[in-house]
Amino acid sequence: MNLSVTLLILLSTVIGFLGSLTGLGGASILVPILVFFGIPIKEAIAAGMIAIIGSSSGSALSYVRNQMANIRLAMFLEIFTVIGGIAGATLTVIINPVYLYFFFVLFLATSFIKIRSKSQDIANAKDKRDFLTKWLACDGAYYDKSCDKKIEYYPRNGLLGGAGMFVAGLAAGMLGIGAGAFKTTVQENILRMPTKVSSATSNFIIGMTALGGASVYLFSGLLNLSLMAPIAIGTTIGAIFGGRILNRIKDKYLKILFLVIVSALIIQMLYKGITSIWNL
Amino acid sequence: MEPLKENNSKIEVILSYILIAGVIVSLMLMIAGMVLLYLESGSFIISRDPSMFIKGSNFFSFILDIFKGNGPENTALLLLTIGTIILMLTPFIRVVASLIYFIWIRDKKYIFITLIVLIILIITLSFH
Repeated sequence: MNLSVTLLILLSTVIGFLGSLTGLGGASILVPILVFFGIPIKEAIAAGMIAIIGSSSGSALSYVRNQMANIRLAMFLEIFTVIGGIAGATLTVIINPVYLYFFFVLFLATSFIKIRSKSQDIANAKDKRDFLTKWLACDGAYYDKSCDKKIEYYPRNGLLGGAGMFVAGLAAGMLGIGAGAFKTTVQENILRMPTKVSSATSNFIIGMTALGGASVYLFSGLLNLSLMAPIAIGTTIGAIFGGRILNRIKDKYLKILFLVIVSALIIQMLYKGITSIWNL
Repeated sequence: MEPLKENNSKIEVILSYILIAGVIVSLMLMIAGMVLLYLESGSFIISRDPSMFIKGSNFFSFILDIFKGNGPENTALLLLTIGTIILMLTPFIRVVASLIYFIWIRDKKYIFITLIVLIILIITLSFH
């Protein structure tokens, strides 16, 4: 099927918008759609990886507004995600593309699992820090508008959190996605960071992880300039608008939208994967 | 205990503007490249021609090559390539700037941590 540039820019804008609304991220929706249009999965992944850098660096705009990201912790966690991203991208370059369809389905399926964050026990949290997080001195504080007070937090489980971030990086590099939902889950449930700080910090980390993966894809001969450019343009613009409208849409509609999108993508990737095994 | 880390915020705000500027410049170059590509070929179809694929060996020598004028001869492809490089440089610049900041405030732990990230990135960008 022929995919035109105008259609691709339009699609990417809508997807960047939907991606930031549902918290799924643009690329994890876009890669299956590119595959649907007949783009080889490895090329779709490489293009997605570069495009993510745009939406992540572009999200620096929201940092200027709220300054919630924990820069120190982000830098520490980037060690793990970048190594994971490079390892994942290297795997994708060498393995048989058939596996990638199924890894993608697996990843999409995990996004159904919503781990509810336990109510945060802020009290005494300072004593629960382990040696590593104490050494890192990554405690933070932010001003929460909704309850009008300054909230201090003390991350813990530094090593386990790092391991979780490595897995997130691996998935991101391998599938050409941001894996933002996975990253915030690790940050909230293992490192025990407040939700708002988690998503702000994860935006920073996504860009760096993507750079790790992209540096592998750049010279692997998989990066198609005419494919990557419309995606980068569209998703970045879409993500900017999505981020602005996020607070105005009802949760219920978001959940239905999310369910429909993810189910459709899973079915399509499964179909592709099975038919390509058939044709082996 | 450190409260809101005022200085940290200030440098990050400056840095954020650099990143946003980088993204804007990169997207503008890509848009220009796409328009030129259309004018040349007269077609809006995504091309899978071999000339569309980036090839090279090392990110840094790749940049040098383009500066020396050894990049793609086609202007549209050159614009798209430079746009991609600038986009990839935005997170890279952020690490370098963070390193400078941590050296400035003499935070040895984070100089060390930032150096690890930087070295990993330089190694992967160099060996391919």
